Amino acid sequence: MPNSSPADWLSCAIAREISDGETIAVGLATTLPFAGIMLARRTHAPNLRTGYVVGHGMMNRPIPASITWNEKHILDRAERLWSFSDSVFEWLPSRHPKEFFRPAQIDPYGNSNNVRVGPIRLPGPAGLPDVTPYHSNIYYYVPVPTPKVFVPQVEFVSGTGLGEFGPKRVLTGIALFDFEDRRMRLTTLAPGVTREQVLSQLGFVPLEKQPLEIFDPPRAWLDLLREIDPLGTRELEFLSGEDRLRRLEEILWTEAGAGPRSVL
Amino acid sequence: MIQTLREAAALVRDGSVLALGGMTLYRRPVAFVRELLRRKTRGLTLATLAGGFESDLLVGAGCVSTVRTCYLGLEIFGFAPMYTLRARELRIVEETEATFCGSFRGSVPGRILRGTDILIDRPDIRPEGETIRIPPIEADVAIIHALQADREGNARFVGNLACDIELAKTAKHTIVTAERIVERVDGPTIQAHAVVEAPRGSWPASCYPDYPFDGLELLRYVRACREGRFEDYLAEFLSR
Repeated sequence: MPNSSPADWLSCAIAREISDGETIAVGLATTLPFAGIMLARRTHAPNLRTGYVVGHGMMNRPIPASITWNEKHILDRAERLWSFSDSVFEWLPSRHPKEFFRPAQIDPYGNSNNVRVGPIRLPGPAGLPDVTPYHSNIYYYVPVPTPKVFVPQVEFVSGTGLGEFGPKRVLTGIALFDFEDRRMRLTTLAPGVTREQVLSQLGFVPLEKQPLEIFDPPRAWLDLLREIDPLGTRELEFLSGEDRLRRLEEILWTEAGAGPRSVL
Repeated sequence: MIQTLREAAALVRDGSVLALGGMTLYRRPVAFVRELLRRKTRGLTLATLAGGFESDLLVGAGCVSTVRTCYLGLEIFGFAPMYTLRARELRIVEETEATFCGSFRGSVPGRILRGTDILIDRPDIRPEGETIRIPPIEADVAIIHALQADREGNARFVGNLACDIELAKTAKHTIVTAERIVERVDGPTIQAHAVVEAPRGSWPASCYPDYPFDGLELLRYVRACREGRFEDYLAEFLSR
């Protein structure tokens, strides 16, 4: 994989989970799944139906990746606007859109937590407690897996795990998981990553598929990602602290100079 | 009907249930919040579908005792720094998208929330057969930022509706702050009890289509808080 980052790899892994004609929900500040969703649209899934939390707009056309202009891109082109209640009580229950969520904690049973960890308050559960009990189109992504995220048991269940429904997959920057017999199972490694490396980043021992798959994204996908997200907004999700703020600042200055990008 | 920010903010008293319209970084009543910060209103119950910069300022300045929201954060700009720091001093009513929206209709379908710890944290939410009963939020004052409003209290906004229509219908008082006061707002709108002209009144949050959020200002805020300079930032913000 020449010149590709873990963010590129994870974007490609997300794109691979998307099928043509599906309905996708795009959450807040999820620049990485956004890149994956737009990549799927440009390759094997041109007929995606997408609903955005920002603006509560439905739009079946692609939009450019942007921090500053994301809302404008959505609201300028939305084919339909909802009230938030309509999207919660009509669209989500009838469409069961596929959505990629980022958990602060996740356990081997697929329970997730975005409410609190020890003394640390997290932003909140958003819509996860609403959809996880009856959707099975839930995907989690964790850019950088650590034992603090992959825990034996979550401290607060804000997304329910495997029962009648539950998450389909957990995707990270180095490895991918699915669920087998209601337990998380390692299925896929990024090129050059060992299973030992992955296991050392988890606070529990997952099941393992035999043999493990190595996912090597097509070169054309990596080239397309640069077109879809030239400023690298997807990389922000791999950064934290001052590194992230600095990268964000560079992107914001570039966007302030360039204005909104034209339609793809 | 048309009031100044100062007059309108006097409607919010210590201990009021204050509902803020819009969502996260979009169409937020920031100018109004600045006035509340000047007045040092205390003991507020802050109810908002998803809070951002304005809610974090209120929490940081010690104006809030209870938070009702399903998300309080700055999206790609990270955690809301003062909320993260002060959460232990607050009573937090754990909302979800559906419990917040459902509070205006009285109940939500019974299949949601099942198996989550939300039901443990919220003894006021009761599963009853096929539905879950949700008590109303009962805001004393709802503040909604709009693109345009007229002197009769009609207001127009575009996109990111959040729960603003429901808030305007159910709050005891609804105040609209608007980018512009116009002669007449046509079409279905929300009806406010009072209107305040507040150009760029959502800044640094956005007001589509007039301006996007000001990411560089949000960064400046996050950095100030990281360096322990919230009070300096607040003083500068109040002097604007």
